[in-house]
Amino acid sequence: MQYLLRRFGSSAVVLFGVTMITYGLVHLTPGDPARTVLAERQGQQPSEADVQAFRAEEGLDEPLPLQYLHWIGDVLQGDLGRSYYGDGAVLDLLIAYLPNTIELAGASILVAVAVAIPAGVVSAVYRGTWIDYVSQVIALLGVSMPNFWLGYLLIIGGALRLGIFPVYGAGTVAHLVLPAVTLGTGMAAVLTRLVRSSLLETLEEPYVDAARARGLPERALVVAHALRTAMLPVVTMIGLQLGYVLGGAVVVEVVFQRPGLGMLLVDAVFARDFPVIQGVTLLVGTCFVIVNLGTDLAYQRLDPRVSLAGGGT
Amino acid sequence: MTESLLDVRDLCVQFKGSDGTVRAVDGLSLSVEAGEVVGLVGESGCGKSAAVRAIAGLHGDDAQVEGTVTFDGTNLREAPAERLRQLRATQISTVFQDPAATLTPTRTVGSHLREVLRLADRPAERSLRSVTGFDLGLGRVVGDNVDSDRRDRAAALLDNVGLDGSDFLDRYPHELSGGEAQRVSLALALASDPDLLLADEPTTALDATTQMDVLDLLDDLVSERDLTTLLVSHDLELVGERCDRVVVAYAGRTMEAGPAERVLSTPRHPYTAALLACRLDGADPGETLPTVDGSVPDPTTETAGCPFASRCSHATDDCRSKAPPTMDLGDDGRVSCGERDAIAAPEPASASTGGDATTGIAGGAALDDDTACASRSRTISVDGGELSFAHTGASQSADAGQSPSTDRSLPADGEPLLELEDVSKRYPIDDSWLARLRGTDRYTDAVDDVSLSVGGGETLGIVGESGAGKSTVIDLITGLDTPTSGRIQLAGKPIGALGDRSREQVVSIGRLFQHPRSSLDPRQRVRTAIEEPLVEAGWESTRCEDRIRELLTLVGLDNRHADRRPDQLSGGQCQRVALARALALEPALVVLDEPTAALDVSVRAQVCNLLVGLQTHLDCAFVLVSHDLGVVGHLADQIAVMRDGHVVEAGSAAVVCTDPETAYTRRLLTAASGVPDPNPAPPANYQSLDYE
Repeated sequence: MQYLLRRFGSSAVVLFGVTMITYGLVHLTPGDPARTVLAERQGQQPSEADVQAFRAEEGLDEPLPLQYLHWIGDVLQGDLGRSYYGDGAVLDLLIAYLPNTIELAGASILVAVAVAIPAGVVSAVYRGTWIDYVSQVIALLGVSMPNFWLGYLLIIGGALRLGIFPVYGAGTVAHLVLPAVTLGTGMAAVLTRLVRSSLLETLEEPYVDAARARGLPERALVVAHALRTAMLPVVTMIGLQLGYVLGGAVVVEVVFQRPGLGMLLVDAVFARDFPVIQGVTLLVGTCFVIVNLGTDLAYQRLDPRVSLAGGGT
Repeated sequence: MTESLLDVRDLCVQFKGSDGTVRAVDGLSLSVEAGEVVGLVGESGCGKSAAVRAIAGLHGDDAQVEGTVTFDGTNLREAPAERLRQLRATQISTVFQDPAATLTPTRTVGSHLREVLRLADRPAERSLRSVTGFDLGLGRVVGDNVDSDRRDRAAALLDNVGLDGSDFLDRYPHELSGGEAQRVSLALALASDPDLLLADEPTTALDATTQMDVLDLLDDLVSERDLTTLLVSHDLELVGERCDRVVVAYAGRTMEAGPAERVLSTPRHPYTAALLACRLDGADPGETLPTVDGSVPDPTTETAGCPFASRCSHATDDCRSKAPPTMDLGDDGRVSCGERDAIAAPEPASASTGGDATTGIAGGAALDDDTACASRSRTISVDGGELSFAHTGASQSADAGQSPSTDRSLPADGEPLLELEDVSKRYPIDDSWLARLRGTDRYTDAVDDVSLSVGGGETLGIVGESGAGKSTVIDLITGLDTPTSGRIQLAGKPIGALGDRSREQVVSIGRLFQHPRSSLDPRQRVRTAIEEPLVEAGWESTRCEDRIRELLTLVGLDNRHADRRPDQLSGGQCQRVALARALALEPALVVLDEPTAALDVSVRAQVCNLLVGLQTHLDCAFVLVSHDLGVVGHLADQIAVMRDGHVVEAGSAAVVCTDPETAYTRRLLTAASGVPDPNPAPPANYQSLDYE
């Protein structure tokens, strides 16, 4: 419990830092939101008076630190601001777009884990045989292939040629398959290699030998004695890969035209829609922190030696 | 001939590596009859473990195994893998060396035991869940009765090995002490009610007292069941007392085999005799111990002759070129040695044979005889002017050039070099920041009110079991930790943590770690490892070069070793390098943390000799920490016995070793000598020691 409190404390600090940095970066990028937004609204170059009025209205004329403080003050009260484009409250936008991204991230991690663990285990157990080599080559391909390219390949193959899956959009499970595979492949490849090397290392441990000496069948050795320890680095990796998934989601969502956080963010950046950029960043940061906390908690479940309360041994 | 339960003939185990074929076992033969306890003895690197693994069929594809292993009439070498597995599950049990590492860290003691019981009940069963109890939570476990029955049986097994079953079943391996873990391993080995027990150095990794307890337990369990046992160890005497017969192996071959009593009293092979002579007990404190010079031959090279020839004082040209004949001694066993003089006239072990072994070979380990000592001392005095830099460390004088090495600027007579006054170190049990905010008052006293002092050139021995606070004392002396209360003074000046110490104070305390191999960087060559402190002290490269050569000579190595990496050195050689490094800046005090615990008996004797010799020549003080009262008694002038953070007994080494005041010390003494205590401590006391 105490551990959780401590972790929440440090997470808050991390989030605070993340928002501050994005706030600064967004304002450093060239392009004035007032002009961009007004040009969009009015369909022509806005007058200087309109620009000043917009800045005053949105508080953009204040010094940057003060703007940030206002924003963070509002956030603490549960107000993430409104989009400059009148699309409504940022919070509502996030709530509308988040499920699609969660769906995509979850499905791709699932794909990755479902492929990586069996492939890695088989690869490790049959080390040095053709099975191992084939799985290694596939893993190498998976790592090397860029998301957007694989995405288009899958669209051509799975959607256009075979016509099994829809080309783009979201909503049904069928819509999810191609993006999830696209995003999951790279991760699966990395994880396969990690599962393989981690398990190989664990299989060398004396306790595996000792279990073999007690007459355990090989399969039981791997599953019951080696795999759990071997999964520790894999779990950490899955947690860290979430960052990769969210980054990849930006690309994959654009490729497959899925309305998700990635697309929302990309659009907001192009349109200089500061409140939305801030909102998405905060949300993604929060997800990341939560997943990493979950990873550490999973550690304790997997390895009884890990003590969370005492700060570890 | 009676039918043996286990019969090993011409066993060869080879590993193909990048540096050629490693012949770990090279024609080993031995047999164990039903109900017999046979000891397999030899130095490390003699292929004992590889042989055990070959017998149990545990070698993977990377090992080439040849020869025959017959168990109960079956040739195991030809049996299919599945049959071997079933044999391991039911009839052959193995106990390994490092108890903590042989239990799966993610599973409880109870789940280990239940797994073995399940396997033994249904050896042919191979489905995952039924074998391991591995349950994903998807289905109900069928047969709750059987499972709870197994739980009871598991608890009973633990009770059998002296552990409280109900308490230990739910513990994880990391919650066990070394002794407890080995008891659990024994329980696991006995769970299947095996016919043959292979015990591979079951106690080497344990404390001396725990070692005794576990061996006694093993003895009891084995005799209770009349269990056929192959007990592997490097300690000939220890094994000899507990076995019916002993097989002495060297470089993967059988050197001598015979009834334990005969082998121990009248060894027929020079190697056996030399091994026996390395024992510490019987030697006067500080006396040069007999050693077996050189080291086990490189297993990648094939020798036509007797593998021991290069270290044998009786060796002739025939020994080096022809395989030694094996002589059958009838009831006395057999011996493989070609030199009739050596084996025909067996002499009392410790007296002459061992002595011959050491003097017969020149240029081996340093300081083994007077000539070597004399020449070394000359070297040192000639170069004395150069060495003097380091002496400043001990003293008030910071002037490097002035003090010649013989005139050490030690504190005045009577004033100790290092003094600990009422030193305590406590660690908070809960170290989180919330607890710190609240101001917790729960502490463990790692060291409690300890006062010690070491004079210049003197050796203070600190003895105690694991957890007695020895390591904390070392950390406090070397400044890696600061005492909670009390004072530590070096040469009359209080010293604090490492960061607060002056350069001289840091330099004047050297440290030698327990595991020589892990205390050296595997990627660093010996030269770089020794050079590091010198470079840190700002020495020029030519001066470093000279000093390194000098140091290597000092610790009994030569310049050839300077370019090797730790993995190309033996354990004893690694310890010498580590010692050279600790001595590089001529500290006034060297802290030796279990310098011999990780070493073979023969190498231990070499290191002891080296330490005695070094102290005579360098006049530096040692703080020697060990759980082995035998080693400490041999080397130390003063002894402090520690237990639970307190010093329970302190005094001159002679008094503590011959007339101990406390039962605890008596028990340590007994454990060190390996002979059962004629007046054992009261049982209550015994228990509390057990479960610490």
